[in-house]
Amino acid sequence: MGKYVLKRLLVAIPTFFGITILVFIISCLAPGSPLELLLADPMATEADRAVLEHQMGLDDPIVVQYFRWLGNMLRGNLGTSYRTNLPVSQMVLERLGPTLLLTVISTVIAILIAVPLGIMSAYKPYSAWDYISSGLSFVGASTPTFFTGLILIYVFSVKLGILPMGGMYDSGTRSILSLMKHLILPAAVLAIFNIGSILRQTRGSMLEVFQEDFIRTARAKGLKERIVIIKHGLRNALIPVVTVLSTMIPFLFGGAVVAEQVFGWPGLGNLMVQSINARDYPAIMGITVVIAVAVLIGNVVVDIVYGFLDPKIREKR
Amino acid sequence: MSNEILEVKGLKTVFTGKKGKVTAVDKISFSVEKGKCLCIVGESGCGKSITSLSILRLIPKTTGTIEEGEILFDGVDILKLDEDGIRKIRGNKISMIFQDSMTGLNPVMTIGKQVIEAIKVHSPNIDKKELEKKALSILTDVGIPEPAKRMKEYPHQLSGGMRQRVMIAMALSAGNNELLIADEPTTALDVTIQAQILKLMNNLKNENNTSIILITHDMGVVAEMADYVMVMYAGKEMEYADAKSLFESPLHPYTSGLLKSIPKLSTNPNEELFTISGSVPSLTDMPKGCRFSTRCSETCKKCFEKEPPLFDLNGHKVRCWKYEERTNGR
Repeated sequence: MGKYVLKRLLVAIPTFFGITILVFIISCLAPGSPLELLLADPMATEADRAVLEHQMGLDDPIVVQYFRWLGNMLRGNLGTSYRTNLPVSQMVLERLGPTLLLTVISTVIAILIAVPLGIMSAYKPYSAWDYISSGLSFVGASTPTFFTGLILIYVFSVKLGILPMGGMYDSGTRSILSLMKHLILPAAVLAIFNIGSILRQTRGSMLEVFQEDFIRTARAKGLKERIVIIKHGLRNALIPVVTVLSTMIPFLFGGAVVAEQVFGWPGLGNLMVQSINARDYPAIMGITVVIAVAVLIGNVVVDIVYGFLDPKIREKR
Repeated sequence: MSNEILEVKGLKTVFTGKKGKVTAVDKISFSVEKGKCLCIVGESGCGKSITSLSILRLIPKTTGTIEEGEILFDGVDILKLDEDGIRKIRGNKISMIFQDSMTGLNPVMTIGKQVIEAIKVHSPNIDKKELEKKALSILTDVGIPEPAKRMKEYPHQLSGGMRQRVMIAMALSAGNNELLIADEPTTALDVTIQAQILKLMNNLKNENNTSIILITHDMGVVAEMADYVMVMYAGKEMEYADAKSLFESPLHPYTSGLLKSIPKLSTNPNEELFTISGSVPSLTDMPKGCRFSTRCSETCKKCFEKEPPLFDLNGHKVRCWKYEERTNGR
């Protein structure tokens, strides 16, 4: 198992460098130079512009620019934001915690709700319960997060007034209770969006596993139905469910961008939108790299979970 | 008649598919005596396995149902038990060896865990060390080399024959085995292992007075194991007799056909082997009269018009019009 984990980690390294190259090239190709924004002053001359371009290193060849950026980044220096003049690493670090909190909590909620419901659907397929849960999960998965977000705000904040509209803490406090109150709505929005696909996958793979001969063997042993379903069924059914989860990881961050905007959650997504609007290249690149690394780590975690679930994967790779 | 551990009366198992209802097992009756072995013989798809699955109520609920009949085990109708009641019989008083060893074991659980689980369900008070010891000795009994090492392995690391033996071990581990149902237990195994397994089953029969239902299409195995034989064809019992009289004087044309199709060493190698011509009729498209009429070489007019009942000739039962007069005369 240790060797397997190490291998997964090593494979992630070239992927990481690939991502940095892509991010850098895309940001270079993007229209609009940061110089134009900084030199919004109509009095600025062509000479001023050249001086600034040289100061920022923008006149160097693109390869040089890339390696300078990469070298700095590996030392933890993501550059200085054009917009705020603060170190990007500091800005990103401040925002990373809230985003991770939001995505992890919402995923955990989604799994805890979707997996048991999926099992119930599979156990009695085509029953009334199956249709209800499938219908609701489709609605959840096909409604855009900003819309669910607005509805939840309208119901729970405006009409009922029991939950805050946005932000992360009540003013003047940093208590856990206040944090949890603020977390409920955005986490619910992301969870509602993800429950659908996890539920459908759990249902589908449980249905398939129920047909397997080893389920019949387990029943023939005289095991309780609950044990047959959980111990013999679920463990086998979870393998494809984990696959779905792994494909969801990047979209989780994407979904978080929208949810953070709607709820004013001080996360990476929020910072990303601000930075893009300001063409704040160092910040955009820094955030993208951090999200990419988060996705990479997520995938490694998924691979490790795979290894736990499936003994064949553990030894083959 | 208290000597009978299992009595099946008029069992009818039906599957519902897209094309409508299909009767896989059509009102068959048989019984198994204590400490005796009943062999169920027949071609693929004749309902042998469905019969055995019906006894433990393991027919998948979504597609199949037992529509009619009684299955009396120790005088209690299994079909009337609740889930908990049947669960206490499964793997305890009646255990089963399945045919599909390749897919019958859970791929994500070690062999040891799966065997131990089978022992533990019905004797939850045994401590862990004792369980492991017991599992180890059962695996040794079924001829698994290096059982201690194998217990830590997963099904995909074992060969097909070894997996089959693990399945057998799990069935044999049942605490109070009164009836063992074995669905082609040795088909995937080579002859030496087959002999070992059959011997093991015979020991179980002789020492613990366990009854056995053995499903097979290997007449050699039948000759070795059976006290009684039931020949099935297209969901019905065609002939049902004690092994000796069945082998010495098979009555049904199908049975004699089956016996004739066994190649013998004495046969001239250039001679073509005997085969029963044609194939089993589809369950959705049964012939009107006798089910075997389409392939039978001894048919008369009646065979195509009306299905024969099971004629009883001094305990040797046969479903064929040829014997109508012999029973009527008596």
